[in-house]
Amino acid sequence: MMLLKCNKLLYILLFIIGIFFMSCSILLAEQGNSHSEKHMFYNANNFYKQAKYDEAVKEYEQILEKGYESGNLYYNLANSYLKEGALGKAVLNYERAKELIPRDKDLEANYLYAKSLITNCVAESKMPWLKKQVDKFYGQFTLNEMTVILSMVCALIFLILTVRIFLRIVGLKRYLLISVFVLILFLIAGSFSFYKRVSSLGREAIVAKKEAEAKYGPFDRATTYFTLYEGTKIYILSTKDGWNKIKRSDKKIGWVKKTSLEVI
Amino acid sequence: MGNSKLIRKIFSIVILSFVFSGTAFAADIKFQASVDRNKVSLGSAINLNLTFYGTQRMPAPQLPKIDGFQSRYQGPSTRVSMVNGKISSSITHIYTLIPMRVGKFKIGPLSLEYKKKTYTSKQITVEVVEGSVNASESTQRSSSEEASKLGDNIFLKMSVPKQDIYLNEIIPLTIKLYVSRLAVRDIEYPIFSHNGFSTDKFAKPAQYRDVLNGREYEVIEFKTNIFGTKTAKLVLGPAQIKCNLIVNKKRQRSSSPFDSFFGDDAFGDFFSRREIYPLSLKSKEIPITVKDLPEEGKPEDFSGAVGNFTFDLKAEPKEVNVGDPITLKMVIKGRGNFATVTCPKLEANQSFKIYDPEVKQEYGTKTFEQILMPDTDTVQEIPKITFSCFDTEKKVYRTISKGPVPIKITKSKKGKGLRIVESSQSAAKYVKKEVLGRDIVYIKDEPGNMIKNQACIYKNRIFLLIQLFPLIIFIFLSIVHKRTEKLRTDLRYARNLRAFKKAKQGIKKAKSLLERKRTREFYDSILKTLKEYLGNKLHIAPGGITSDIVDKVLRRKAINKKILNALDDIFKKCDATRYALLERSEKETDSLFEKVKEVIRLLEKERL
Repeated sequence: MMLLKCNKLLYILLFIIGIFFMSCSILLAEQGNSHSEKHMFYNANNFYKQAKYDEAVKEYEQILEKGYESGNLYYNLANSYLKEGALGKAVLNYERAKELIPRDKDLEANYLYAKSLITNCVAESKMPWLKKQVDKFYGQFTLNEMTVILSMVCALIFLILTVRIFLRIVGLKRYLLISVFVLILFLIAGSFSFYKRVSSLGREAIVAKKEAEAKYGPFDRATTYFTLYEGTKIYILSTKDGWNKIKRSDKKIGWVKKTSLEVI
Repeated sequence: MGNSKLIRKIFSIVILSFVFSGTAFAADIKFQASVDRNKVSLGSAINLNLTFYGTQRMPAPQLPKIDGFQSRYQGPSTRVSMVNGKISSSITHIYTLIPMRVGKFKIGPLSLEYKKKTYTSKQITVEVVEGSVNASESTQRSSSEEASKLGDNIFLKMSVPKQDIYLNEIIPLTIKLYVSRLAVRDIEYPIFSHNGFSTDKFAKPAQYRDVLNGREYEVIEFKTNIFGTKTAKLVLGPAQIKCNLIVNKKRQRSSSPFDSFFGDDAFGDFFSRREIYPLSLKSKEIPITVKDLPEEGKPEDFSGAVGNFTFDLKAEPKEVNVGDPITLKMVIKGRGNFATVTCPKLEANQSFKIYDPEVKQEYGTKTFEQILMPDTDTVQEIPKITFSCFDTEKKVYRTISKGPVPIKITKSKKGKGLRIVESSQSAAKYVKKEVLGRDIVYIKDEPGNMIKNQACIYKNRIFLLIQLFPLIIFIFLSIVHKRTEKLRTDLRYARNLRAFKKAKQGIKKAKSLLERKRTREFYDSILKTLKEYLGNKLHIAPGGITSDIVDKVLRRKAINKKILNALDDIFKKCDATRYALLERSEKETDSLFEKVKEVIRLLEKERL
């Protein structure tokens, strides 16, 4: 009798968790393509094929102005910019595309190519091995995917813990505990990476002008500390009177005019 | 484990049977006579040992009469030793010789016949003195001289085969440590002053027994080679050796630590303690004259090689192209000073490129490998090569000449210049480095998943709310599980929990009985319900519930007196109705029913 009751509870639990996962996936896969935008996209592609990059850029930008976005759109736009010779804009749009289609091989190849064109590309400062691996792993997912993964991991932990309560086999209980432990580690690492990504939203920017001088203070007469070249990715620390306090990947900090930067 | 033990046992039996078969080795029997001391005082005795090596079956020989001594046979002593896998056995017949008068006496040469063979020993000289030998010596002793007094028992000897040598002539040097009737250990390699000489390292020392002046000694032999490096009258040595002497010392101290060696009971005292004395022994010096090599008959190409050598020449390959290497192998073998052997010189020749030789030296051989490269195809031979050395035994110069070696040189097909054979294969594998174009990957044909104003899920309130689900479910199920487990395992808790529910059912049933006016059954039912309720609440068996017990238990729990009185009243009324068969009015019954309900309600509020 008691056992039957337990089983019933388990079924209920599984049902609820099933609903939970389903709702997550529905949230992820929101469809909303509009026909006119699609048409514009193909149109822009045609311009690109005809090497009319200028017009292709205009067309792609128009779709974006309407509020629609997709990884492929950003990717094509970036390609057009690159063909036009606007390296800064190209890198910017590759970065935006990366947020949406992070596992795309073409994107990766073009992004690396664009990066190789940046003058005086500053090497990134060394990160601890583990941190690098964690970032690399979670970097394969979009922010939304990552959110769902972490929430699922969290749910899985509770599911295992719940199953563990009703389980009578002692040996299996231990394995479940180990798996919970591993999942918790996974969750913690993921949470750190997630936090880092969310906090850098709107704070990462690309140098859009050919050259931008990073100064010691937020005014024109201040001494130039170093020069930023088009396409360089920087991190915005704070903003003041039309100036951004920025940090370069080698951890050098300076003040750059807001107009020379474009936030990702 | 057991097996290996058995095998070992069998193996040792086989070895022993070989040893004791004795005559198996009789073919080479050596006979040696020795005394334990050369000097003896009148009144004490010496031992004469007749040792036969290579047998253990030699019967005790009959000693002839020895002048000045009386002899007595003591008995045989056998010995088997195995050194480096070589088994040697011996038998020693020991005789005691008691001197009869003072003087120098000669023992032997002793000779005896065994199995139609005659064995002869050397002559031994023994001096017999008056008084105690030890006493006379001990009067002169001082601690610093003690070592030298050991003289006869332990000493060092250095020897060379000749004292008149040529410059760079190698001669063997032998240093022997003689030990008799002493325990010595930690023997170091000898050192010797050798100004004007060059020496080798000492070889591994050899150890054997030898008889010197009729006495038997343990000998440790160190061997090395030396040669003079300058012409002069030089002095070799003295050689010096350091070792530790082990002395068995008696508890009662005698006059000298070495006494115990000279006394007859040298090793007899079992209760003696061992002491270690560091000892430094010196040998005599050897004067050596080193002379220059004679000028007479000195060959022109002589480069200083001293010794008796042979010279051999080989050229490989004999057919080559111009510019290909020919290896010239020159081997010099023999005895002598290899340090003086230099590479024989090739006669200066314009048609060869000559490289520095590679030298290899092994024991008794020195090899020079020289690379030659013919420059033209006109070369037909490698010219003759001569090697000269000075033979120190015959005291003459010798010149050995080899060659010329005919060779065939052909013109290189690939024209002039060096050709390295190995490179031809790797050259075939050379691939021109591919030059790749660089550009971006083409655009995407499809727009992909186009979304208007894509929102971040983590900001979605519904999503965040859903996150709480698993946690809530987990907490809920944990509580459920805990409760179920408690109900299953804790009977008191389970009964307590069930009490009110059951009481409610009982009351319901009683009410229906009341409505149907079945008064007696109603009383039975209401009493049963109350008893069951109290039993469950107080964890008492329902049969054991009486008004007294309930009163007692509840009183202990400090329950409101009003309830106690009401309970008491209910029990009394019920009993009276059931057993005294009293008729109750409808009103009374109703009030009782209400009272029961009230009591249960109140008891629910109390902590039981």
